[in-house]
This record gives sequence, C-alpha cells and structure tokens, in this order.
Amino acid sequence: MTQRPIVKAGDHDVDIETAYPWAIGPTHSTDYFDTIIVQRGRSESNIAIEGWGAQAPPPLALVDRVVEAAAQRMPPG
Amino acid sequence: MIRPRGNPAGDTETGAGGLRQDRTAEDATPDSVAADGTLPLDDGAPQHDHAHAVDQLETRSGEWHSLVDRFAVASLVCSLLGFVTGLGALFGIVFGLIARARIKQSESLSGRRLAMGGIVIGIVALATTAAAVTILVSHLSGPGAPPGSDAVLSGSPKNDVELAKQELVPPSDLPSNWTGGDGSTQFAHETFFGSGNLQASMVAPLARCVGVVPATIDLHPAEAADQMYGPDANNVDFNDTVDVYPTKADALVDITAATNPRVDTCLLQLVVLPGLPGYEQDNRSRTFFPPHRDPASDR
Repeated sequence: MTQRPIVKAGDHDVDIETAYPWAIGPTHSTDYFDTIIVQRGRSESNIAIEGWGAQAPPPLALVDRVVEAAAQRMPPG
Repeated sequence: MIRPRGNPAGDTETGAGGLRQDRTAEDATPDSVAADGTLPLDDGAPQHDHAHAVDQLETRSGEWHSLVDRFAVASLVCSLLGFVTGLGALFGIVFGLIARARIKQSESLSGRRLAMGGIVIGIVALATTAAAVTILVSHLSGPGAPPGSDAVLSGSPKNDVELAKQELVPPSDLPSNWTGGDGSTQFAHETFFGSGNLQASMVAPLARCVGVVPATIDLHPAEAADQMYGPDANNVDFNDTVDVYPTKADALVDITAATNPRVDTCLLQLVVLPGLPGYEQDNRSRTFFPPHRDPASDR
C-alpha cells in the first residue's frame, strides 16, 4: 500500500494504491487498486480505479485528470 | 417688527424682577432691546410683552431648524436605508460630503456631526453590502461551483444529496473510449472512510481508538454514487462516490482517516475481532463482509 503523489486540486487530495500480485499456476499478474479521495469544502469524492490483472498501475496522468475534474465540480468552503 | 417693552402709558414698572423700573415707552428702543439680550418673562410684565417673548422664541426656534443643512439629514437617512437597499449608502456618502462642504462655507448652517455620521454609516452599509454580495457570488459562481447549485447554500440533507449528484465525475471528464458499465449504481459508503457495514455501536470505541470526536464520524453523509465506467475490452473499472458532510470539519475528519495508520489497526482490533466475529475484511476498501454461508453446509 503506497501513497502516490498527485496533483493538488482540492483542499486535500490523496491517492492510496494497493498492489496485489497473484499467481494461479503458470499465470501470474498484479491487481492494482487506487483509492483516490478529493476533499473540498464539505464534499468528498471517493474515486476508485481498479485494474484487474493489469500490467501497470493506472497512469498518473489519468489520476490527475479525474482529481481535477472532481475538484472542479465541488464548491469551495 | 420689534415692539417697545414696558408700559405704553409711561407708568413706572413695579412688577417682580424690578428691572427697568424707570423705563418708559419712549426709553425702549430697538437698540436697547437687542443689546439687553434678555427675554421679558417676569410675571410683572404686561400681557403684550409676554406675547412678544413667545414671538421671539418661535422665531429663534424656526431659525434653528432652518440652519441644519438638509443634505446632512438626507445623508443620514440614505445611509441608514443603505443597509436595506445597498445603493442608498452611496447617496448617503455623497450627500454627507456635500453637506460638509456647504457647512464649511456657510456660518449659518449646522449639522456637521450629522453629515459625518451619515458618511460613516454609509461607508459601513456599503462595506456590509459589498461583503454580502461577494460571499453570495462566490458561493453561486465560484470556480468549483457546478451550474445551478442553489443547494450549496442550503445545507439540508435533501439538497446535499442533489449536490453530491452534481459533483460526480461525469463520463465527459473520462477518456473518450470509457463507457458506462452495466448501469447499476454502486453501493454507498455510508460510513467512516469506507469502512463499510460499521455499526453505530462501534463508533464510540473506534473514535477513541483513532483519536477523534465520535460526533465527527458520520455514518450516513448525504451521498451519491455513479455507475461504473471503464475502457472497452480492458479490465479497468472506475467509479466515484461523493459524500457531502454537514460541515467542512466533518469532511476533513474522513479524509484524514485515509492516511491515518491507526484506522486500520483500530478497525481490526475493535470491529473485526471482537465486534463482528466471523466478519472478513476486504483490505482493499476496508469493507467488512458478513460470515460466508456455504449453501452446502446448510443441508
């Protein structure tokens, strides 16, 4: 479980990524789960990006994009 | 016209006060009255002298009213109205400045303090109106405010749900090849940083363990969840759940828990082990599931 650096768009933003490597017989891969929370004012957006058997975690460009999109729709204060 | 004081017949006055006992009608000239500066209110004065005194008072009273600059009065009135109308305060300030200039130029005008009061109150009313308008505008058309977000100001749970729906990340903000899933609405969080199925009875011990005030753990914030999205032909899912809390502090508590290592420990100790025996924790989302019942074992 790691905390990835992401763009600052809301009052507080965090991306906690959990990687689960797995192997079933000769097949092996890794599941990536990114829990992205954007808080601004009274609102909190809980975004989950789940990659099942993905070869890599979701790109930071995508994470930044959804973080900014979420924060932009939240009123301040 | 100034009438002569004293007995018109030329008799010597003997009334109370004893002034000018030797004066006659011929003695009383306009000059002597003006220089005297006193009002003949003594009881011994003849009736027509008393009427003359009343005339003097009325005249002086009338002169006093006419000396107060009307702009000063208008300034105070407009400035007070400015708390209601906003624009009135501007007139109040302008009228006050005009009044001060007029009073300064003319010795016969008064109302300097009135004008100053009008100016000060006008400035306060104008500042108050400007602050109120600024706050209102920032709430309604701030950079993050979604269109038509009247609910932002209400704070009622019903409107907060509508607000949460407006704040969901729409498909248009996702990559173009991402489409909606099966159309089902995702399950709601309903608890403290996604620690789903958390019972109300566990809030107090959990709060003590984590080190927050129990009242700040909101198990049922106003909430909206979107559908699941993902790119075609790929095993990636995206979903968004928006919670709107009663206060900013409540929202801050929840996101702070996301990076607080004590939360995991406390949930395991307080909820999984003694609180909900048999429950399993999904480490990905801190969600607890009820004991798995194998249909085969029920036979």
